[in-house]
Amino acid sequence: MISRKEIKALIEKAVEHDESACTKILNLYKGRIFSYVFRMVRNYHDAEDITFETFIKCFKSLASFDTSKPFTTWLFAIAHNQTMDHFRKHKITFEYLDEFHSSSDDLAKEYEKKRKIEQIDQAISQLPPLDRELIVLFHKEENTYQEISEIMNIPVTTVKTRLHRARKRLHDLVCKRPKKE
Amino acid sequence: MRHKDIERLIQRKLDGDLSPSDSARLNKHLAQCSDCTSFYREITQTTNLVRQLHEFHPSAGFNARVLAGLGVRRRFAWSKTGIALAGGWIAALVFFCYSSFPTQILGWLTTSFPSIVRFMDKVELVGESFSQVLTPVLKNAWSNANPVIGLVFSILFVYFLGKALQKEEKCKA
Repeated sequence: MISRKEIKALIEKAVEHDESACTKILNLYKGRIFSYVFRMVRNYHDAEDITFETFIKCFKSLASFDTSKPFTTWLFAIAHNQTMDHFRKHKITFEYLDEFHSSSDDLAKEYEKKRKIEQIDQAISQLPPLDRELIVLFHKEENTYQEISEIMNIPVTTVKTRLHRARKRLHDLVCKRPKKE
Repeated sequence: MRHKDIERLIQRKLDGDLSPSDSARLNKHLAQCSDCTSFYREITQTTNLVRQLHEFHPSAGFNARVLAGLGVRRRFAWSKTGIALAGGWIAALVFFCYSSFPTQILGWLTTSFPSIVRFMDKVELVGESFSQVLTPVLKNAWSNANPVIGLVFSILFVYFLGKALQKEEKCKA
């Protein structure tokens, strides 16, 4: 885990478009950003394009970044906005789509950690985009409510209530329970 | 059946903002209700495993693509090139100092191409005139130190050239 001081030093160099600093930032965050975007759009090429645009935007507006704030929150906010732009461009409604909830996959019953993780990943991909994003940002990326609120530009209370709903939906999908809402 | 108020407590526990009194209330209920215990165990396990989801990676040329998109020119690996050039120079020096091959080559060239001999004679004449200007001491010192000086200058040349070019590299936004 990189310290805040180290990331600040990297940012100062990357503002000048120092190749080594830019590469370090890319190596530190491209996996997390790509995974997040990929789980949102579920298409490798689209995910790579969105991740590319995210980093281009990040480096170009790095000079305006307030270094007293967490860099990851800012970076994830850019990725979120880029993903939303992608959804808008492809006319994908970013809301709760209940038809996504009918899981037809034959999920393994036995408990094996690896299999279970795959199963959860599969279940996450079946969640509506908003639920998926909240689950990934809170449980995978371990952001706080406040950070998620800043990334997604929605109130903290909304984050909380929607996360509860998303979590329950994920549980229902993983445990093959029909939606009761 | 699951109890709605307990479900809310479970959600708050997963959020990490459950008060000690609510935590005690939850534990007390879980000890008595198998449905809520089962829900608690499943949802905790699911959310815990989300943390361990695989990380995906973009394709191999991603960094280069971003850097090119920014107009950042990739720096030439001068340190490696300098080492390679210095190594090559040392190898060449050793080869020409201790091998008979250069003499053989020279012999072959002079017999095959007489024009080279005439040219070399002229060069030698110029060289001799030049060397007569120098004092014998300096001449001796120079000839003895020649390979070392050549080596040192080569390394310094490659090093400073590399440094100068690195400073010149400008990142274009």
